[in-house]
Formats: sequence, structure tokens, C-alpha cells
Amino acid sequence: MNVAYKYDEKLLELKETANGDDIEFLITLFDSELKKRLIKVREFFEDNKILTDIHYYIHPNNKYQIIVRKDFYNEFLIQLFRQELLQEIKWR
Amino acid sequence: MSTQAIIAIGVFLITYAFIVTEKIHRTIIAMAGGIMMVLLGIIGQEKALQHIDFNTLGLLTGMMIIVAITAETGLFKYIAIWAAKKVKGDPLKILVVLGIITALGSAFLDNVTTVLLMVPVTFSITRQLRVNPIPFLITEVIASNIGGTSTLIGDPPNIMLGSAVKELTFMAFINNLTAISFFILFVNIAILAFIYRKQLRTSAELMANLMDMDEKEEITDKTLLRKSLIALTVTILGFFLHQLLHIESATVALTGAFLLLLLTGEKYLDKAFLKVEWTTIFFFIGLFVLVSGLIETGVISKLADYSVHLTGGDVKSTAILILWVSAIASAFIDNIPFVATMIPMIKDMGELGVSNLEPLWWSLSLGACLGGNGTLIGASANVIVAGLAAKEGHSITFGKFLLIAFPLMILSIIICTVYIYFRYLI
Repeated sequence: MNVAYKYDEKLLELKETANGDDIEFLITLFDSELKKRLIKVREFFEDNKILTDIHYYIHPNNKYQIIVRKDFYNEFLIQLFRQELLQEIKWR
Repeated sequence: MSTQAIIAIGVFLITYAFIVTEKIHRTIIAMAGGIMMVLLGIIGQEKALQHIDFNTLGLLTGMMIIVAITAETGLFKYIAIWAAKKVKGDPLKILVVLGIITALGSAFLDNVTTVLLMVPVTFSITRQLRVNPIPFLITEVIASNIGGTSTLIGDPPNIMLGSAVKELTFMAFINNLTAISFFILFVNIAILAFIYRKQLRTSAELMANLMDMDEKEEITDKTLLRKSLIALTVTILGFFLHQLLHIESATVALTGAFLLLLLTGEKYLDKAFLKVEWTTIFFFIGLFVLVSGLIETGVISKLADYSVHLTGGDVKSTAILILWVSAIASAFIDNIPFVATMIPMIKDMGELGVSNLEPLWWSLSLGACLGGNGTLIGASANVIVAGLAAKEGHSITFGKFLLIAFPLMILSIIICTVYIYFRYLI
């Protein structure tokens, strides 16, 4: 997507790339306390009974790879905002 | 034949027809059929209650509670990712290990629960590797039905058999069905791996990505995991020892379930009870009452008498007939009502002079459980996985499944025929 994300760079890093038809987010947390918030994002999508909306992969050193289906992109961003992991989105 | 018997057959056949056509939920139909038996005076309420097998119901409920709480820990995701990493992220090998894990899970939990736990992690792994999930899902469905065959608690027909026949203990199932089930499992997985080998290719980069995953982070609650593992260990040990301890399998499962709830406290009580499949429990209750109408009016005895005349009371031909009829019937209709009808019939065959019932019980179990692999509607696990896959845009059609699974089911039953013949009939 042609957007720029604003977040607290001291706490996390967020990169967005295309992955086939989907969008992939690579999130690195510098503060382990934020894990709980990311878990809440995951739980939101696990509770909706759709199995392929997001795929959540945990890598070592607090790195998270999240593949988001295109039709759930907006919802995913809303959940990142809700957990205050994102602060702003701007058109590039 | 008495008027009561004719009415009982009518109610039974109408109920069965509705179950087969699946126009109305099977639980509603089974309960309606059972209630009709009582309302029409075929069987009194007291007698109907006596025919409800509370051992089967207790065993199912207890295991459902244990699994509901254990699933909260992330244990099953951990196992699947750990196994995928052990085979270096190779899709073909992952197909094999996920099949084996599903079979092992189905042997000690129930098929439907196992596939419900395996499907999400399968989608996740196949998406990471960018491979088609359908070969994995079909393998897991087939493996779950085979794994369920191997123990008393693995598949509803076995639970019903173990409950109805005192000699068919947990250890008896282990001694008679586990080895042959796992032999059949390896044959099936080998053939499936061969069929799908060309679809299961990915890049080294994607495999490396999977290898980098940290499965330990999937365990969300370590304290709950410890408690769940204690309860699971006590329960499985209890199953191995239940004959020695003179306790029924339902007592074992309910002990495990409420020990776990004691350890976890009220926090999980509501969640665990919400996850119990009450529709399945009431389906069983309806069926037990429905079949009791046939038992009490002497219809089952008549059928047994007819079957004994057909085979001349010969154990060999009766066993092989039961194996094949159960398998073909279970491929197209629900195996639970089929087994519920067959159990009293085989018991009556014993009273009519068939001396050795053991091969008949194992034939019924193998036929009814493995027959479910024949078609997409043959077992609950098949229907559930196909439904989940379709919802996610991966359609497993009746024809596609039939083409792969029906020949595999026939091969499995041929293997069982050889096994039953050489182990019990010569």
C-alpha cells in the first residue's frame, strides 16, 4: 500500500511488503511489554472463526511476521491502532 | 410381528432417512425419533432411560472438557510447528508428520477435536511455504479416521463398543487394533505422499523462514500447560489401568476433566462447558432411545436371527460380512446410528449360538471407523474439514475426495480382511 506509518520508533519497528496477493508486516518489538498488545491483535482475529484472515508467525528476538489477507487489511490496521501500536497513517 | 414392532420399524426408518438426507440437524431428528418411541408407547420412559449409555456420554463429555482447556495453552500449535521444523520445512515430509500427529491426536482425543486443532495450523504452515493446503487437509482427514480406530476412546463407534461389551477394554483395543491401524495409516500416508509429491514443492527461502519460527512462543500459558499435562497423563494412565482398577472409562475421563477444573479453578469452568458439543451428546441420547424401541419390540433379535440363518452361524463369513457391510454403509451414512443398531444385533447372535463374538466386534469397529474415509460425508471430521476449507476458498468437492479416498478405504478394508482372517478365523 502507498501509505506511511507513524509509530514510536523507540518501542517497535514496522515494515510492510507485498506477499503474493496478501500484505506482509514485519514487526520487531524493542519492548517486551508490547507483546501483550500484539497478542490481543492476534486474539481478535482468532476469535472471528476465519482461519486465513491473518497468519501470525513468531520469530526469535521479538520479531513477528504477519501475513494479512487483502480484505482484512483495514481491520488489521484498526486493531493495531486500537492497541496503540500505530499512531498515524499518511498517504505517501 | 407385533403392531408395536411395525410402528418401531417405521419410526426408526423415517428417523434414519432424515439423518441420511441431512435436511434437518441430526440431533433434532434423533431426539424426535427417540421421543416418538416413548410417545407412541413403544417403550416406557423408565426403560428408555435404562437404555441410554451414560458411560459413552460421560467419556465424551470428560474428554471434551480436557481438550477444551488444553487447547487454550497453544500446545497443539507448538507440536505442529516443532514437527515441521524437525523435517527442515520440507512440505512432503510435513505432510507425513502432520498426518502422523493427527492420527496420534485422534487416538487419544476425538477425531473432530483433533482436526479442528490441526486445520488452523495447517493453513498457517502451508501459507508460509506457499503450497496448496488441500493435500494436507485430505491427509489429515484420512489420518484422523484411521488414528481414531486404534483406541477405545478414538472414535464414537469404539466408545460405544467399549461401553456395551465388558470384554472390550482399553487394553483390548490397544492389543487388537492399534498395530493394524498404524500399519494402515503408514500405507495410506505413503500413497498420499506419492500422489501429491509434485504439488508439494517450495523455495529454500520459504523453508528457511519456517525454520526461523520460534515454536516455544506459541505456548501462551505455561502454568495452565503444566496442569493440563498432569490431567492428560492421569487420564491416559487411567485408561490403560481401568480394567485393573475396576472402573469404567467414563469415570476415568470425568476424573481427568474435573481434576483439571480443580487445578485451574472456576476461570475455565464456563469456557470448558461451552466447548462441550452438547449436540453430539443429545444425538447419542436420541439414538440410544430410538434403538431401544427396536430392541424391546424384538426387531433386533429377528434381524440377528435372519443374519445367523444367512451365514449359517459361521463366524468366518459373518465376520467378513460385518466388516465389508459396515465399511460400505459407513462411507455413505453416519456410522454412529449404524453401530448403535449393530451392537444389540451382534449380542443377539451370541445368544443364537454364534460361539466366538470377538472377531465380529473387531470387524464392526474396523469397518465402521475406516469406512468413514470412503466419502466426504462418511465421517464428521470429513464434513467439518471440507466446510472449513470451502469457507477459506479451498474447495474439497465430493468427487475430488471420492477419487482419492474411496480406493484408499477399499485398500484399508482389504488389509483388515487379511488381518481378521489370519488373526481370528484360522
